[in-house]
Amino acid sequence: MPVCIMPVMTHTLILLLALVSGVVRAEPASDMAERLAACAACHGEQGEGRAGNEYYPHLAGKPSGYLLPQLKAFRDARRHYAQMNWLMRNMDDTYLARIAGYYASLPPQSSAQPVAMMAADAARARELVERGDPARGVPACATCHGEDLSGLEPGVPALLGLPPDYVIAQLGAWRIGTRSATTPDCMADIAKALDPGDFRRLGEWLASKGATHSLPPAVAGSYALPVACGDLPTREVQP
Amino acid sequence: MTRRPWILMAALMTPVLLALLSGLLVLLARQGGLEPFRVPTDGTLPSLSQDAIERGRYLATLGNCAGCHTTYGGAELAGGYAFRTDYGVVYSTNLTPDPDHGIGAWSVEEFRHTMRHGVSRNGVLSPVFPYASFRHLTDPDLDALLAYLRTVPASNAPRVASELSFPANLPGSMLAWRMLYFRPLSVQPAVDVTLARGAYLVNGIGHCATCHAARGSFASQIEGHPLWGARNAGWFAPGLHGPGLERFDEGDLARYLKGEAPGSVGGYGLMADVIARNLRHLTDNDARAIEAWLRALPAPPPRTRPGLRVQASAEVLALGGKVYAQHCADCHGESGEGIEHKYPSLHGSSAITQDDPINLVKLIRFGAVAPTTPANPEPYTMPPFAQDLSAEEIAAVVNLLRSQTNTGALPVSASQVGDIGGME
Repeated sequence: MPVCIMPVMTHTLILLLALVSGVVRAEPASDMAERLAACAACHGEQGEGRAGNEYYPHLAGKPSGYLLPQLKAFRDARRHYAQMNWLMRNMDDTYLARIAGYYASLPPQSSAQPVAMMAADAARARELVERGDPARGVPACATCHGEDLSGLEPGVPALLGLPPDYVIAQLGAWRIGTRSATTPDCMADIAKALDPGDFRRLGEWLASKGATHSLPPAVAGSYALPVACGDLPTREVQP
Repeated sequence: MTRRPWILMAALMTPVLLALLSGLLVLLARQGGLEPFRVPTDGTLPSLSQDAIERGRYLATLGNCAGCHTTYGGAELAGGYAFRTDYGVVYSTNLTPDPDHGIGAWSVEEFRHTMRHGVSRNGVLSPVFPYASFRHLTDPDLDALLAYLRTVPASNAPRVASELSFPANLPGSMLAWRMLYFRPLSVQPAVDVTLARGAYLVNGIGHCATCHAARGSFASQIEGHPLWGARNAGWFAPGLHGPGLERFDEGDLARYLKGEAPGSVGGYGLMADVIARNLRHLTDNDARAIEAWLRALPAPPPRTRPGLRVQASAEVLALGGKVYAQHCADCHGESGEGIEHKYPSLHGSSAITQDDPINLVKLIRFGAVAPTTPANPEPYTMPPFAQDLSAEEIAAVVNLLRSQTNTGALPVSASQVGDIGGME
């Protein structure tokens, strides 16, 4: 009898182990990578963007609270980029949330290349980033995006590592209204207040800093935002 | 002397005018007399029973009313969607219950009349509105549709006038088109057996012929509108008939329509939208009825092709092979067999077997993803290659794929690939 029981017990044990490990083991990350081959074409296998391209932004490590509203906006044609609108249009909220979560979980990295810029332009851009333009009512970038510009959970994205043309295009889109967020649309307000001549300086300066960017966004609540932003899950406003 | 030209004129013109008049009378008789042009603007209001509303909602979903009568991001069913036709731009109308701008004041008689005859209180409607399909619908189904439309939020979006080009911009052109190309349907189809139900859904509310059937002169539907496939709205809607659907195993077509992506074959292009918004809500029985009916349809007669056809050169095919190995084989397999449960096999793909290369070129350039549905919640995606491959490389891989299964198809050139655009 014991001879007969042994294989049964072994089988049961293996089955139990398999069940337990199946429950405990997180879903392999490669599964989403395989599903999202289309995203990788422009945003990279690891969400790092596309080397040598001046437009496609990296996604890796950006807060999911930022990525999800963007994906929904592309799906619903509130953000306009034909290729994105095309691929998102029949995706439901649940899948978009999975996609946002997947890219948020990847270690922050960007393949954007630094660009050279003139010292005067760099100084002006740095001033905007660190001190803003009080005369125009523009807050410093760093007050929301963090002193190291790595973003803030759960909804403020990093600014470092973005290709310059992408930054310029977004500021332009906010200014003319082709990119918008839930009111109060803080970035639209800022892009409208900024001197458009500063768009390129900002884009190039941010790119010039960002190639080796690998800092995760700051923990939620690390600091309060100076302006109210509609798409952010928490509307923290500094009194 | 001065009267003679007048007499000559009258003598010549009288037979011409008589011929025109009799022709008009014949056409009018074939329309069923003046009846289609008498719009019953008063009559009974629809019964708003929960049963009718729910059935109407189901039919409106299958019929994709909102797909055409809603602008991207606009108020549901408020109209204004632009149809860019060969004869100008036609805008869809407001179907919401607003009494002035929508159809809130319409009786069931007027609604039935408009759906069957294409003539409403606003005049003779453009053939963009598929009344040639909707004439198949039964009274109870039309009444249920109207009942449902009464329950959607009203919008006061006004009608947008068409911007038509010659000859459609001539006064009476819609009337003339209708007289020449439209025939009212007198018989009401039976709805009890599976095949009849499938035919009713395909020919009626589903209006599949709008995309899957070729058009005759001046965009008229061909009598009997065989669903032999046609290029419409930037895609080639493949032929729907028994031999053309052999790629799908028994029951898989029904599953495809419901958004399950059997064998990882999911809808792309406009069909992805139709599955995502409409067909995924099909009941199992209706999906099976559609599959049964489509499989029962005969194939078109075989094409006769000249013996000598231009073939892609060996260099082009070699380049295609290189592109395939580098960019396609990882997912679709060395010989196009695909990867089970992930990436579809290319064997029998209509994008490859049909003569029109537009779907294949667009799939490669812009990528694709099946619609997200409960049966396929996290679909795999096909990457766009527009940024990685030149038009020449895309043409080469298209020619390679087509050369293996569709030897009669003409090779595609790089400039043709460049001309095929639009992610609509």
